[in-house]
Parts: sequence; C-alpha cells; structure tokens
Amino acid sequence: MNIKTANQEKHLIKLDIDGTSTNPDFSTLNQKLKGILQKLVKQGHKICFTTGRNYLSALPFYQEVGLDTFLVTYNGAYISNPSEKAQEQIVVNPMANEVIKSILNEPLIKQNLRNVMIDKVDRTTISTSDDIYYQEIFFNGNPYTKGDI
Amino acid sequence: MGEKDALQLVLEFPNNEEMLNDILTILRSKYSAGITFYFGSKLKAKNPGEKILVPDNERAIIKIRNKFASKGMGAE
Repeated sequence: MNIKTANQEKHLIKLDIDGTSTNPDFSTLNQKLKGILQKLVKQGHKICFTTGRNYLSALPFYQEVGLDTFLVTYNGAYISNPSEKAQEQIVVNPMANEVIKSILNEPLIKQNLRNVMIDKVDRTTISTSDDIYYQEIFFNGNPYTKGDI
Repeated sequence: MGEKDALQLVLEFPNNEEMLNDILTILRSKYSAGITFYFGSKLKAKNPGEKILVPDNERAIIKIRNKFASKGMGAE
C-alpha cells in the first residue's frame, strides 16, 4: 500500500479503539489498519489511541502497533506515555470515592442497578459481572476482582 | 467497593427509557459539577459462544468519569 500525503507536514492522528481499530470481536486489532498505522509512523506522523477503555485493556493495542506516543484512556481521565523510553503519567483525573458512593446510594440507581464495575486509580478493577462484554471491553485478559453491589 | 478514588464507574441497567431518563436527570442535576457521563447500549455476543459483539437492546450502560476527562486532552 502506498500512503501519500499532500505535503511534508507531519500530523497527529488520533483514533478510537472499539469499533474503529478493532475487529467486530472488539478484542483483536484490525490487521489492515495496523499496517497502515505502522506505515504512517515510519513516515513521521504521530498516532495516538484515544479510548474510553481502561489503561490495561488499551495497552496491548498500543504495543501491537509499536507506538511511542500518548495513550488516552478512560476518555481522558488517565493519559500516559507507556513507551519504554518515557513511562510517564501525563494526566490523572480520578473521581473521589465519596462521589462514587453517593451515586451508588441514590435510591433509583440502587433499585435498578444490575451490574457495576469500578476502575480504581491504582489500576485494580472490581466488577459484579464477568460476562463477555466486561471480558472483552474492560478486562482484556487482565486480573479483576469479582465483587458485590 | 473499596476506598480508593476511581477513574471510571460503569453502571448497567435494564433498558427502561423512563427509569433511565430519571437516572440521567439525577446525575445531571446533582453531580454535574464533578462528573461527565456517557450513555449507550451494552454489547452482547451475536450468537452464544461467538466473540462477535453486537448491541444488547435489553441492557443500558452509563460510563461515568471525572468532569475533566476529555479525549482531546491528549492533543493539548
């Protein structure tokens, strides 16, 4: 494949993971896209995955393409550069535990809630469900704790 | 559910429009100073045992994060 750009400018290309970069299983990277992204990196462009996924479930996609840029996870609540060279946290915007407790104690939420999953700031995940949605989108083979509501 | 602060809270509900609207109103009116949230369908296996995922119209998901969470921040 020959990827041509109009000029020699280098671009920052941001793209989502789920439904954009994955196959319909939401757990494997589209190999055609992977080839294109690697070609763009070689041409000097910066590729940045921006996703609502948690850090650990997004990291394998970043590593598979071989990126060295930022990885935007939790929709921007946690932004890091996980490349071997950098290994740095850029943005960490957690929600206070009191806010989470208050939301979970709202009577209407309490009455109707079927499952809940919490990604803690220390990268631990607690979930009341482990069905395929949580397995493929959030856990992605990483450890999690099965909890109660 | 532990004592540490969190980067993401995912809530799953039955897909009942009236109840979900009331919950979204509560989140907006009482918590919008500190959180932002996304509402959508849960996913399920297209066929039992398959890994292809499709929207599950019987279940809804609300993903809640810090108000300042923004995908655009990576570029800034």
